[in-house]
Amino acid sequence: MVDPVIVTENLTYTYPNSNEATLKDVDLEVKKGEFVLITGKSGCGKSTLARCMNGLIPHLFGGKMDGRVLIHGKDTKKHPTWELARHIGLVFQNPESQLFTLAVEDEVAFGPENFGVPREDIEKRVDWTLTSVGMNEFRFKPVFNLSDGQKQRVAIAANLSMLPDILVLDEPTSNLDPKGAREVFGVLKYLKEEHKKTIILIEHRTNYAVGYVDKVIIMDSGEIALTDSPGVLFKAQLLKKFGVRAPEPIFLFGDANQHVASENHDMLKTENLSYAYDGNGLAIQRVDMTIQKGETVGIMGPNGSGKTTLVKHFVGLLKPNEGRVLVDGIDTQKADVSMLAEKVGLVLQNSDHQLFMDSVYNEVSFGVKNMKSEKEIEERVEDVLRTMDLWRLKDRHPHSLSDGEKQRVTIAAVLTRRSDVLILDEPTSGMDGYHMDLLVDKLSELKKSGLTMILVSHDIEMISKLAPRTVVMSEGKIVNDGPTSEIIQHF
Amino acid sequence: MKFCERFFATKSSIIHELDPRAKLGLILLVTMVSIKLESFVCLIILALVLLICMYLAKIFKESLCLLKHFVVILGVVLSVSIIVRDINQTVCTGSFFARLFVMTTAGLLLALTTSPNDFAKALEKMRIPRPITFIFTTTMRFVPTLLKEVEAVMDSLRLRGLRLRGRDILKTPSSFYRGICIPLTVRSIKISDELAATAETRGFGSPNKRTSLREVKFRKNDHIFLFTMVVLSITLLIVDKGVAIPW
Repeated sequence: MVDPVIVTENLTYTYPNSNEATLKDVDLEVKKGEFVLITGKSGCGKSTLARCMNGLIPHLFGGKMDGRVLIHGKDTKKHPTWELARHIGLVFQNPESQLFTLAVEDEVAFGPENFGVPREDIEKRVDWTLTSVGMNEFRFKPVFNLSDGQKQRVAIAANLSMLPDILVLDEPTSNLDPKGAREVFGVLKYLKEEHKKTIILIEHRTNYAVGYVDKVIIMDSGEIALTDSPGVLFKAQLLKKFGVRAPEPIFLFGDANQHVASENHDMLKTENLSYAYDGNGLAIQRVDMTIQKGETVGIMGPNGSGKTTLVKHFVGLLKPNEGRVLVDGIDTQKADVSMLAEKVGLVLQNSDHQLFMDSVYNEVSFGVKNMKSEKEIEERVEDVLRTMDLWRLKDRHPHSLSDGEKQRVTIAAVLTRRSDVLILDEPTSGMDGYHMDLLVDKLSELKKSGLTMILVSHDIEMISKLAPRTVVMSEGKIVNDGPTSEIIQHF
Repeated sequence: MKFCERFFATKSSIIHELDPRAKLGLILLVTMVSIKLESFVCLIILALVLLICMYLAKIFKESLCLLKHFVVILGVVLSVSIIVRDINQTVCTGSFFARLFVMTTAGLLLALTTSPNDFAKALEKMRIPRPITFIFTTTMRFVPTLLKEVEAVMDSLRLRGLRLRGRDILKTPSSFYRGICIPLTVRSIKISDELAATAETRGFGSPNKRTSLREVKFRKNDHIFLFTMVVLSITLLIVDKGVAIPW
């Protein structure tokens, strides 16, 4: 009989300034060496549970916590977070905001240094952890030159160097491309098999996890709805009920192929396009592509392959170093961003950068005010808000909304301008199955209205549902361009 | 971004390996000596010595990129002084700029050859409290991240047809506040929240006496370096006072 290393008993938690409990009577036991996947809809309490395990709740976040959490028998309420850090490590979603220092070695040494570990031991720990995550060759490199996948591996090493038995990872692969995600899962497999670490993985993307985990916990509205073996991830109806994404992408080419593009109307065209950022090599080179009016195209490829650089050319944020870009026949060299923004709307990945008005209504109506009569603007804004299911939220401050709602606001802001083209950059990053289906439904409606769409994403499932054509980029070049159903065979 | 990366010393040289306190000492020494020196020639000699140090540190190219603006301004001011034939003004301006050049060069020698981490460790050795040095290194680490954030916010504004340049900030401060301050504040608060949580889970706040993987230590080379610079400074001061050089 293996003793549990994590126990939660009747755990109920309410954040400060909130009336509703985020966790409700959560009872959980995790045994030593287990690899547990915790999944569920956004806002179901997964990350909050992780914070409770590390003592960040209640020590850092405050709020009202009832019940208790025991880590190796230690009550988290009675032990400060730094003390629990010896037993339990936490890797966050955003690699950028969990690395403090400038060099890989310093980052990994940071934890043991805080605990006053002797220098010789720190040296050994840095050696061991960097070898474990396959980052030893980067030991003296600056962290900001690493890819996101490499940063995430450094974050894992930085936790391991404190020699915890338990590692909690909160959506560690949300920002990663498939290669980066596979790298992280390779490390987790090694830690479980070779070092018998207990691993708690919080993830929306179940496709990588399914081959590794021993147990699956599905959460819903702050409660544990289900605890089962990994086989539960293949019960499609059950997953749909809890808004969890299936490990095997559900491809719906039939629906996607119903779309008809206008003939002989080149909406977007690049001719021999090359671009280099200051002092660096070519980010994209000799790209030739044409997108017809009404077409929906997926653009895929690893991080740094030039996808975002390419689409920024369609709105004039970047101008070609060589070749040219035509938007509905207009050469982007001769047009400024505000003019192109009337034709092409680009929704960037992070909604927080794009919201600055005091209400959803004002956010969506911003930018059309000087162009039309007041009545026409009101009608247009209402129409778009209703289409995007935002009318009920029109008076809310945009930054008070959930991530999914914020994203819909940014799309609505583009639609209000009646752009001919909508470009979405990583629209489903960190999104659960329920919200992905909602977004796909909305985009399908827009597609039927004749809007030209480009979807830049790693999400094969979402692209297969919407885009009949997919362009694959690698190292700044188009390496494949064809029907999505054929392209997907290579993934 | 490129500008920031210059300050995150990744090269290796005899100057890089010096204790940051030795380089801090150099700044102090050079500042005092340059104020005391009256002869333009002596100031130029001091500047040349520092440029040699830059060469040894393999940062000559990066430094020149920053110092060239300085030389251009000096050239313009000196040209104007010569055109108006005011010899006293020319000497005064020349000496003023030479002092400023010497101090800037010493500063760059520290900034471009010392990693913020080593600098923080040196500050801790000088009994500066750990929370302050931690804020220093974390701030340095996040300068490139914040620049990326600013770039993303500016791109978003341009996509909405709003372009904010320097003069627009004065003309429409409300647009600046709404368009840039709000999104940046929201992002900064989110990042700082995540950072605080991460720091807690990495043992920050532990009462244990902190150790260090790479200890900053005053070694033989630091003593030789500082001794050489002190001897040079004294020699220049003696020459400056004893030898009647007209400039």
